Amino acid sequence: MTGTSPLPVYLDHAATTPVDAAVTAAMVECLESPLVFANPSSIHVAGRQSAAAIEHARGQVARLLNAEPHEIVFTSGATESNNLAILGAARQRASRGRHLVTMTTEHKAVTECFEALEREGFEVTWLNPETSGLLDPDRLEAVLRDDTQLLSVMHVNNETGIVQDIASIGSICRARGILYHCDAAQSVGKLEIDLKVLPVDLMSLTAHKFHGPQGIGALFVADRPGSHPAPLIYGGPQERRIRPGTQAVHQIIGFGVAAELAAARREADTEKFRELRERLWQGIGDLPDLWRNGADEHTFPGILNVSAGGVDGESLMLGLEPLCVASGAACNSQSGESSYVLRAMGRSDALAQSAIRFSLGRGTGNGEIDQAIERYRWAVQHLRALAPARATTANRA
Amino acid sequence: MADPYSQTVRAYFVNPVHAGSIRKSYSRVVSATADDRQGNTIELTAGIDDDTLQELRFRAIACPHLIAAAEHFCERFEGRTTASLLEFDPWDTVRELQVPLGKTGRILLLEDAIQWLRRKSGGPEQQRADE
Repeated sequence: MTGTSPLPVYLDHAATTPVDAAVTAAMVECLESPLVFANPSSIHVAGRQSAAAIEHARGQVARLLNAEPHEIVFTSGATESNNLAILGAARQRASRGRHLVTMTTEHKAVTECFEALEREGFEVTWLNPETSGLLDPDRLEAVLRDDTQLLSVMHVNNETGIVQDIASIGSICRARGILYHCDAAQSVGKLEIDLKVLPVDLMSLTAHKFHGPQGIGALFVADRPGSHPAPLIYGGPQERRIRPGTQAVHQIIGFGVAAELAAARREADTEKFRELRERLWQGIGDLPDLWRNGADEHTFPGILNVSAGGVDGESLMLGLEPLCVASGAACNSQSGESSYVLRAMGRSDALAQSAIRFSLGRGTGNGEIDQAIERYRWAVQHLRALAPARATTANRA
Repeated sequence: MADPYSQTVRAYFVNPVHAGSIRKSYSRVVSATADDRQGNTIELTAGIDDDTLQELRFRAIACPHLIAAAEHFCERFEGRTTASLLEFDPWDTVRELQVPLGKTGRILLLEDAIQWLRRKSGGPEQQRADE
């Protein structure tokens, strides 16, 4: 629209990441192999080859989390892991109590599980974050009861990048014998996670958020009494009977390679993200009536979420083309509502509508950031030039 | 997913030549605003001489379809009489801009603003008739 390249500029890595070439190569090698195609449950030599490949990958994923390989249960992705953890744990422990706790700012893959459990007769306490997006540990402690069985609070928020203090949250739960589930889809492979230290019982992760393939994820199930969720499906002994069904060998192999790469590159990636995000913010932060959603010191460096007063979110998205970013606008949600995460943080509907999430990846460089700055500035200024003079954030709140 | 924006919508969105304020002086300048609970706002302004809409301008905080519809309206009705505003049919706009079914409500917001503009621009007789 202003003469820039029509090629997409991909800054939506919190949605999914491109598969690393080394991951693709490993998956193709598996698919073409005369040895690693067999059903890993078969006891013949070919089956044992497949099973060995899966166990190798399980070890790679476990090392990324400093967990034991037997604590890793492969699933189809974080959504399934969240369902398995929340529905499975709540039902498993229902005889001990039916009170559950979560936050309003969780991903739909978590909130909709709790809504389903409410329909089953469980009682759920929904905690709002502070305006910073963080959970106040005192407010958490205040709602816990003798019959509370499960808490689910995510690590890194998928919209804002806000990082919860899962060590403190887990400690509160462990002291009371409450199971703690953490949706870590946005943090695994990006932030250091040491599950030998962190008091987390169940953790959801997925490969495609860190340059692995889509359709494969895992649930970490701590090797502690009472942490096992009840299975959601039945049909075999695979994955410790928690998640039966023939494993997808090539996807698991890809997951393992992606985990190994992430472990090796994490620190360098994080440092690069920090520099690129700062460059992006420096390039747009002087625009008036701009709101950064999530304080710098509490957010994952790969995500910058910004709202602009006096701007329609859908028009902003069109004005940003060819940038590939995510929007908080209602047109982007199937519910027809603006970002519930930002509204829970106290943002007005208008500001939630205009929110744009830039999320950086391993392939992002200065060139992409500079194009993002140019497009964002143009789009905001173009739309504000169209707006009635009286339109401000205050009177649209 | 199909592109929700037709080439016409994209062209109007990028270059809305009727966006802004009235640039010349006229015997009458009238404005009308409509907004909705989703935060869409559309403001139409007409510069009128001898019952003719000499100049039409709009301002908006709105989705691309509504911005394009406002530009399309100004382009079509500039130079016509105030009475011609009665001829505005939102469904013509929906068809010409290929507005998706789920977005047609936004075009009705433009119709609301046009109705207000017609009432305000039709002179005392029109205003009495509307009352």
